[in-house]
Amino acid sequence: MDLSLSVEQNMLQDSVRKFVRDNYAFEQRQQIVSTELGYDLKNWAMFNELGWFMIPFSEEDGGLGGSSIEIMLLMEEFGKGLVVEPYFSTVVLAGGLLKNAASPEHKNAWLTPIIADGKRATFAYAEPQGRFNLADVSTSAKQNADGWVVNGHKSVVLNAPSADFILFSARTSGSQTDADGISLFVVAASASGLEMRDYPTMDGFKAAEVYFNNLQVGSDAVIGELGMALPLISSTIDEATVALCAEAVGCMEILYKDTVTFSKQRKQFGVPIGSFQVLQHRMVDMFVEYEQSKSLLYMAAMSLAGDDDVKSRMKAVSALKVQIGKAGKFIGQGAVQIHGGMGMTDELNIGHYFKRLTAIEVLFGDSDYHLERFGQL
Amino acid sequence: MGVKKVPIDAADNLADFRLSVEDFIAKNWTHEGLASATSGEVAFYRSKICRSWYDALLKSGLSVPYWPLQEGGCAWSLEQKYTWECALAKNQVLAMDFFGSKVLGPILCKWGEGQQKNRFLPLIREARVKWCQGVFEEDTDSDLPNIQTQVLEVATGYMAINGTKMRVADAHIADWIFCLVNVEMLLPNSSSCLGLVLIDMQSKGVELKSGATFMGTHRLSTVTFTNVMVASSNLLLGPIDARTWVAELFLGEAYVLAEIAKAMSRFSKLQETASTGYHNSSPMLDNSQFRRRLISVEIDLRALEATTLRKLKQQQLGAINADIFMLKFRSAQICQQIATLLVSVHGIYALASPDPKLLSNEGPVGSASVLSDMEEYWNTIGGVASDVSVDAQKNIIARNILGL
Repeated sequence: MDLSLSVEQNMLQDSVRKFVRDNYAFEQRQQIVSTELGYDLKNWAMFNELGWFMIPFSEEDGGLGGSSIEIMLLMEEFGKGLVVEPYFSTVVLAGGLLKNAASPEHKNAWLTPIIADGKRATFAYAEPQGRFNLADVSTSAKQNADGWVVNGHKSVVLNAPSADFILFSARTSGSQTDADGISLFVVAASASGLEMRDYPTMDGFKAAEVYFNNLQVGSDAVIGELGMALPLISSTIDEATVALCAEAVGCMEILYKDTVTFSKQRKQFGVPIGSFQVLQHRMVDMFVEYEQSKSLLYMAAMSLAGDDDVKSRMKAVSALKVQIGKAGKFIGQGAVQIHGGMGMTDELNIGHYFKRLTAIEVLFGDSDYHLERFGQL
Repeated sequence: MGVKKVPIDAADNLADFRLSVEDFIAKNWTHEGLASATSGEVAFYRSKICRSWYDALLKSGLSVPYWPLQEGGCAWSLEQKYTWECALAKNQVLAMDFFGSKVLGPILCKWGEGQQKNRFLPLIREARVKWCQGVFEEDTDSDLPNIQTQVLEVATGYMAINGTKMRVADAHIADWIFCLVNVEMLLPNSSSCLGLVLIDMQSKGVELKSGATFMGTHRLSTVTFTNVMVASSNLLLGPIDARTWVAELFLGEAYVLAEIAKAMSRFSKLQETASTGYHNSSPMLDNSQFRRRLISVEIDLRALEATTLRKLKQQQLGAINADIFMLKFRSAQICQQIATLLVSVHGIYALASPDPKLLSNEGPVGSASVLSDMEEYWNTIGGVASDVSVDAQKNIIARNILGL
């Protein structure tokens, strides 16, 4: 199986790589993370100039007509730099939903501002009781004369604190875990009736608990068909999962390579620790896990970009997520442990890559969830 | 002289012994005010909550149960000691200053001279002094004979210490440090190459550089000694060979029992967390995959517990066996598995566990235990690096037990 990149794809990969190389040395990254906003608006403006907000959207929507492959290439490079700007939540999550579900009017109102002006957005789907079940939605939207009244609580909404607008799933009919009856809504983050408790996440990003307290939205706040949003949410989350796994593969590459380099320099008993066979084999295992992860990543990205049926796509995504979970933990742990005392410090990049991999494991279904999903498909 | 009624009697059968231990803890330990006492910034052992616990222990002769009877210890059997540790772990009782009472104390009792014992043992027994342990250096792991920190006699009765110790836990809140040093130049005709020096952290020439870890509140320090003057009577020569030093420093009975007791109590806590649903959802225990993994860990723990008691019994009867190292890395591995399962229970809320200092006053997001559970996860992964490495432990077993 081979993924040969087109000229444009190579150029994209090169430009993202260059951005990370020139702007995202680890110390710079940590400095950005420590700011109030948590990321750099100058970088965000640069993404706009470079046209990266256009990548996955159709040309008629103002985009570049790219697929999950372009997103994979970009996210992998972002992973290598532990980039914290809210590209994923804006373009992949929120943008993905708008791309697939929104009417032309809705795209004009919500997608164009992302593509042209770099407006930031996110998607609130998880709930405290729901674990990874996208159908477990207790946030309710009840129809009234002015549109809909929304009540509920969404968990760990990525990058919500600085989002301009938020998409969310709410139940318009059916009981709590019914697949039918879930609708997709959009609301400005400043709307009254929408409250947030923001906090930093363990991997250097920001998130919030979002509370809807009698939030009133108009009838035009519903994106796509009423009560039928789940299949669309599910497939968008699958695309987002592949993007996140691409980021994880980028992290893993840095971790295993840095570990190999370190082991050649660090001495014990007068020789480099990289000469100890036990450590060599461990690093070989890390390398093998990385390669397997990269292969399943390509398979999944190509499956989503091609014309596989839904079941095959879901299997490809679940297989990938399981592999990433296993490899991320193995490579992360190995890197920390082989780096010894240094691996534990806050100053070294290693621990931070490990944290990002741990975060990715618990997003959009952990390994156990995807093992089960794969088995049921 | 009448028989003094003690709250915990070694003569009791194990069941009654356990009951009186639980009773003692219930009467004398409280969690009230614990959060502020364990911020890590303040030496918690100085807090009121700990002081009253230590005083209660002292009053009942329970402050240093592992020490020899004549030094204030209790004549408890191995099973009784284990019961004690398990009860402490279960009730999340903070240890007596760990490095003092569990590591330095037993070494001093065994190898120290009269004057040293008279001077230092009461301080440890009464928890008046916080200790930290300086062993690792830039280029050493478990190859202790390569320790570079040197001690030299510079005047009658005085030595100068030079060197750097890395990855020292708790150095930023310790009063004193006990350091493994190279004594080859000090005592060229001796068969010992290693010794332990007790140093006041306030001594001139002691420089501390404390660093944050990526793991949250845990801090590790580098301690540099530049011509630090110490009385010669602060040197403890101890065992001759490095291997015994490693065992004394990292594998004392007290240490090992505390580790396994901690693993047991963390497992119980995992079971408890997994049996209550997260925000009215169904409990993780209902998930058959999760339950299988939990049971697998439970069985591993059983094996570890049994092996611990078996090996410690052997140790009591004879020389220290290197295979005791397996207890350390097995217990570390099992704690990792337990911590991983807890991450799984928290699901997406594991993300809401930044450095606690970054959270607002409203406290944790998600469950009340997510912060400490995640910190435990990082500690079990990275924390092993602050100990003798697993590879070194395996090498020791390969060479000394398997003869490879």
